Amino acid sequence: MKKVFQIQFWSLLLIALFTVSSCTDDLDVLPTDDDANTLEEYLTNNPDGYKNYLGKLYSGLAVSGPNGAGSSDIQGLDNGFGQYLRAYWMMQEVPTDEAILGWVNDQGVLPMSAGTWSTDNQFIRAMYLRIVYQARINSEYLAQTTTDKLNARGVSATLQSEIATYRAEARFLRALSYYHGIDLFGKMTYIDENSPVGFFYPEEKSRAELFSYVESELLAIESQMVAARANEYGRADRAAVWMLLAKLYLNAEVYTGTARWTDALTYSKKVIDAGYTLNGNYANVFKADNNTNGAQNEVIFPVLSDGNHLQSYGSTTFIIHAATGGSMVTADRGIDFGWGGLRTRRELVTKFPSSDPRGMFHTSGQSLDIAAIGPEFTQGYAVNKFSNKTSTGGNGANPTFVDTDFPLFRLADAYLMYAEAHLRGGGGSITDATTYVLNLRTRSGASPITAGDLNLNFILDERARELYWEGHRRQDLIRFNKFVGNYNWQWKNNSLSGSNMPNHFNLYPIPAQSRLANPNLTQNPDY
Amino acid sequence: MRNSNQMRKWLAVFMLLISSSMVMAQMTVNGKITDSSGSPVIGGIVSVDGMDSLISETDLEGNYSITIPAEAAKDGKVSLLIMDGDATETRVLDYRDGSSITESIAFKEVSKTEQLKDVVVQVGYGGVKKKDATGAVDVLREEDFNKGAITTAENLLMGRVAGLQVTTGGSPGSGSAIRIRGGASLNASNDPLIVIDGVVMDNNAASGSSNVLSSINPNDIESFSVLKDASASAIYGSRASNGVIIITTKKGKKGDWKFNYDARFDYNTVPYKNDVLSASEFTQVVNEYDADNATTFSNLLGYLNPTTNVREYYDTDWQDYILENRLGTQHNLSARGALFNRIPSRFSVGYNYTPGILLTSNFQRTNFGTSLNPTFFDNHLKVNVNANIAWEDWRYADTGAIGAAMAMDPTKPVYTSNSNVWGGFYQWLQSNGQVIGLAPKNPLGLLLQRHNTSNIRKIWGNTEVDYKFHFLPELRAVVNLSLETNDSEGEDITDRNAGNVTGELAGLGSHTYYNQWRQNKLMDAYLNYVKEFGKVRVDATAGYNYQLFEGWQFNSGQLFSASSESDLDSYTDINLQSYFGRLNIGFYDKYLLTLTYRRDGTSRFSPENRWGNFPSAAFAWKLKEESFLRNNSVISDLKLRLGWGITGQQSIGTSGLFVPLVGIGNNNSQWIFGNGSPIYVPFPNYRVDDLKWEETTTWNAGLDFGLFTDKLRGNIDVYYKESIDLIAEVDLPPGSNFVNRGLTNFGSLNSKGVELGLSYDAISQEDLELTFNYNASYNKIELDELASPIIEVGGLQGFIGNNIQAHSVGRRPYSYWVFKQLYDTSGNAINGAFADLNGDGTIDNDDRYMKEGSNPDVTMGFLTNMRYKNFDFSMSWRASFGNFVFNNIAAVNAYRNNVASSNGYIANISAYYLQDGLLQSDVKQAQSDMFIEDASFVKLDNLTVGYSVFNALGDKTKVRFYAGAQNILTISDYLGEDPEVFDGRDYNVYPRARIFMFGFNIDF
Repeated sequence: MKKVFQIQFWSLLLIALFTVSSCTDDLDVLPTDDDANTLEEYLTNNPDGYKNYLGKLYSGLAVSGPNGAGSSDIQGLDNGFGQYLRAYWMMQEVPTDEAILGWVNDQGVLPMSAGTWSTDNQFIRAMYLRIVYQARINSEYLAQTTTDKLNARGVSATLQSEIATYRAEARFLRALSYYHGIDLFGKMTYIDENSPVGFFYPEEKSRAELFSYVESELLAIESQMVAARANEYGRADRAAVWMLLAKLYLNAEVYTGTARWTDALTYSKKVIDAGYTLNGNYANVFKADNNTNGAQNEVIFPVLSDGNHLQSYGSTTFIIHAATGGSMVTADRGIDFGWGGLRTRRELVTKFPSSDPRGMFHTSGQSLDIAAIGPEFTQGYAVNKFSNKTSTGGNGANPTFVDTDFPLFRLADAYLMYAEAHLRGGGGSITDATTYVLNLRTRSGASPITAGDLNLNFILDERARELYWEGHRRQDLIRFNKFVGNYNWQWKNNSLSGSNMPNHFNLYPIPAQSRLANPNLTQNPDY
Repeated sequence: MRNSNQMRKWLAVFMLLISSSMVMAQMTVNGKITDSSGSPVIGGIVSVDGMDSLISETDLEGNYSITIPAEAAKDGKVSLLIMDGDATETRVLDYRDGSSITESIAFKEVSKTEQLKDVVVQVGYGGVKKKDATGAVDVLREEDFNKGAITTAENLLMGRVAGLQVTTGGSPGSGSAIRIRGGASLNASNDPLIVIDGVVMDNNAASGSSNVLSSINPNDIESFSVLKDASASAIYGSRASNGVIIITTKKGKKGDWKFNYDARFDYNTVPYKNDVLSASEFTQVVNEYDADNATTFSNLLGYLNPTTNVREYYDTDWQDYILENRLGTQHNLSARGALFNRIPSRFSVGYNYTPGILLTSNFQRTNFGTSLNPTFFDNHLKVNVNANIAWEDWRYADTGAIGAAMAMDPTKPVYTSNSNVWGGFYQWLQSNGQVIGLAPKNPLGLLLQRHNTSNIRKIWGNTEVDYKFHFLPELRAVVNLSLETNDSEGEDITDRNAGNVTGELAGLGSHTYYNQWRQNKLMDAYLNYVKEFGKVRVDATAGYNYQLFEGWQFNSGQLFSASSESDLDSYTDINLQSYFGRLNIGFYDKYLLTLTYRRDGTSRFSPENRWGNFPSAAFAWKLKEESFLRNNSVISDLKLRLGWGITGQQSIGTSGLFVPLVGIGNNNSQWIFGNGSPIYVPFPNYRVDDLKWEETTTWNAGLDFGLFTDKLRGNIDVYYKESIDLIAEVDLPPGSNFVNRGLTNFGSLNSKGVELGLSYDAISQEDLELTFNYNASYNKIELDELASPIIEVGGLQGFIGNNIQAHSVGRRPYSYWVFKQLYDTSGNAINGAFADLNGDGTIDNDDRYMKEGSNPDVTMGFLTNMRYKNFDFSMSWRASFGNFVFNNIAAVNAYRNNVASSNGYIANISAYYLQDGLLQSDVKQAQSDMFIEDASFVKLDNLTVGYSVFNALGDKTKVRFYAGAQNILTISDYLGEDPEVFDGRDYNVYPRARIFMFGFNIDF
């Protein structure tokens, strides 16, 4: 009997060992959810995947994260604070005469409103991380769509030629973000399609290096982009490349020390000649249906917004909600409730003669002056420019998240860049310049001007009147050498009537936290 | 009887098959069994070792008779096993064919000490007698458990074990933070591994349940083993860094059926309210604000009655409306005996209803448990089958109501005259009749207009087969198969006229639901070999473990939203496999050596980093057995333990990070090309291929002792732990990956501590018993290495994006990072004035300093039990020293300017304002060191008195009535309400109820 048991025992042991060795394969587990795929699987099984992925590159500017307003691509920050366009808007508008934000309970808000930021400011960090994130995902897109990889996945020739266009757009979007980096931080973490993915310390490129890199990228893709106004709405085309080149050249003196006025004028002119037309109604350019109400003919490159499908607490949802408070009626703004934060300063308001309808302020119950930077929404005029109402008086699809697209590049800017480049010696003609500015003023019903009125100070003020709250102001003031000094506004440098900011404030600091994470990053002077 | 007879026949056939000899001869044994007091034992069991089928029960006079066949004899002897309840005796008799002998047995009183020494401590894949244990292991048996209003299992342990800290929240059935020796990790889980009857439990609670242990009926638990040091826990390898709690449930026993019924009624009362301004104080503060700021906020005071057009001023204490005293109850019935007279079994049924003192919240649990513990083939084959099912029903209250009640204007009414608008609840409204989005919502409305429930069905059980080889009785093979399944569903509905449904949901309400399924399958197989070679005893175990976690969840999305959609998430399987071995060698029963080794594989890491090795070694020296102590009259027991071991940690929330993955965004983060249909966009996931195990090395030295014939027993342990390659969420170099913060092995920490446990049997007489239990532990954790000098953690409530705590090298984790407050000559804080610590002329983050931390330095527990005749009395205390709390309420809600909002409403503030007098809120002010308070405390957790009546409901019955109170007294300097705050940030904490209870317990 014992023998039987022995045999059974050894055979059991054998079975057990066999089972065990085959079980170790069970350790090879990959995600099975339909929302999580290996990249290879996704691109191989979905021919649409390449275009869908391109959508992510665009939406990086528009939403905070992959799963609605409660998600973020950037960790360690409030989801809304870390949204690309919101951070960009904070950088370009809030420290200037055009805007002020009163939520002093939130870290970093007061320093942005008062122009006293330091290296630990969370909005500055948000912007830095967003720019790098865009560089990273656009580069990843390029790395995953090389001809070799496409061939290996058996992608058809037709699709490959479409993907060539997508790749050009990815390079445009990367150049756009690096341009934001050049403008705001000077130097940036540098990532391209050859960078590894994993734990490593990326190198930094200087402002001049980035300038020539962005310039060369844009010139290289110019011919690969879809012709101006020929691409789908929301996608970049050749005119977007021209526009970006024009802006790069217009600010070249600030960025590199060498002025490029002629180039700025040349590329502005290319945009102007591409067939864009001003919408008849200025206010409609900033309304919920600005993708269809005619404004799309004037917008060269928008950042999309959609109440149902592109939700975040950043972008125009922020610009509209935060600017609503006091006695403003939320229903008149097409939204559920105001966040009561954003107003403007007296210096912007006084640039508008009462006859200029572009000054869209809510004044009832508001004071023109700001006694203290704080949550009192009633201090400073409120701004009605952006709205979630449609041109026909209807509401956007969702009162919490607005439909209003943000006009990152539009024809009016090209007109004004032409005029400025001309005045600064970039060639062109004064007649054209005058016509362009006149076009803008006529469209809105502002009083006409003549060639004699055109001078640089007028251009700077006209840019404020036409383009306020569109994310240009800090850049413009710096180009006119009026940001840190030579011109003051209420609460600049945290003083009631305004005083000069330190000279090094023409650049934002590299976030302290990012420098701790990457020892290769150096700080901007004097921070 | 017929069935059991048949079974006996079959068993007899079996035995014929397996025994090698066949004999017809027999002998008879009879006698009388008496207990320690000399009374006859009724229903006692007499059985013959090795002959499982032979059983005799004693009759009413305590007499038994048993006929023993010759094959029961081994080497001419038979051994009898006599049982009376838990007490056992054995007798070895000479076998004489055909004889009839009388053997009477009188049970002796077995000393408690003797019992304790023989207690089997579960150490994972087997047990060891307490006296032979080499590691730092604490055992708690039923008599050591906390008494009182216990809802979930971990509360039986709270304060009872040195180095084990349990912090339970105030909501009904609330989860607990359980920490053994402070935990070993920074970002990965710090929860100990919980093993129930060999089943390694999933450490994540089911969706909708707030506690991993909430489905376990505390009444079914027989004992806890707490493995504290690595030499003990390393047998669980990669999962044991934070210690292991092994729970053993009650099993069946042979003998008569015994029943127990327990009924308890708990009256949950509101222990405190948060102090806010009264209506008159509030009115005064608003007026003062207006006077100083030339504003007219006082116009908003009171309620303009729309029918009379008269402004009415109320005096509403909002907290009175949301907090309520409520009655809960608990019933348990269990039966223990031999099914068909053959299979030792236990059955239990339990029902628990715990209401929350915050209106609408409650927790209900119904459970059934079965344990069958038969043995076959002369005890060679032991089978344990445990099967349990539990239903949990939860209703959650919106805890935001606590904050809303503190902020809601006290001059407002609770209800308006118009019940059609906003459900009749007063709300702050805009001029167009819409709710002011940012204003506090009616707290009662937040509770009554929302119905957030979940139902969970949990089934778990295991079958353990333990076979002792017939040809080699020293060798056992044990196979344990187990299954844990959670099915849960939940629903969250908010009324259409609730004030907090806004945006596209306004006027529609809110409705979401989910379903979740999770399963945890486990297989253990091991061989155990025990043999004595002269003075050397060898106990060796080797085995294999396989565990698989699977699951999915369906979320409905917001049913009333056009832009929301449902989603089915399948969880990525987690597979864990291990090989393990343990060797215990004892020399001369004096020197004990334990070596363990475990090799663990996890699917969470890449194939290159998947496997980890976890060894340990421990040595114990029973000093008492040495000649120089053997006859010592003071020292009755002394054992020295030394242990070393490495354990790991792989419990992170994600897996598969080593392959390039893309997630697919949801329909709220799509992209629209042209004016076409929105498309779903992919996004690249964090990619890291070198993530590996976090490792903790522990050194432990301990002394177990007994003094004065073990009247005083205790142990002292000192330990040092070092965790390296911490799986930490760090700020990654920007651009290096697709996230800027992700998991990396970076950093190390160490922790050291001392633990003392004492128990003293002060009096043990027939009519009077008095025992004391006391434990104390000191623990200090220090960070040695971090990815960056300061890692901010611990969000500051009320100031988005700001933190109050930080990790920093050389400090304890979660230290407070604060500004140094400046005070005026009369000692009042100067609003917004802080010390310029680095002297650079500006006050910024560089002027913040590290102050204390939320973890206590020293914790203590004290329990005393007394019995006088039929009365019993129990009292337990707990203390914590050196734990600091950030008083977030005072830091954020106590400024005068907070009464006024630019969005057209006024809000109440904390009564701390009356004391601190701060006018202007500000982030830096909130981060002031004035709000970091010493929250050391001493708490009287429980007082229970009982009275027992014997034989009132028949023979051998006992009825015990008891009454008591829970959460009775807190002694602390902390200015806030309750100093026991787990993460050290006191804000909107659900108050822990003060409970008065009454119950009775019947044994029959």
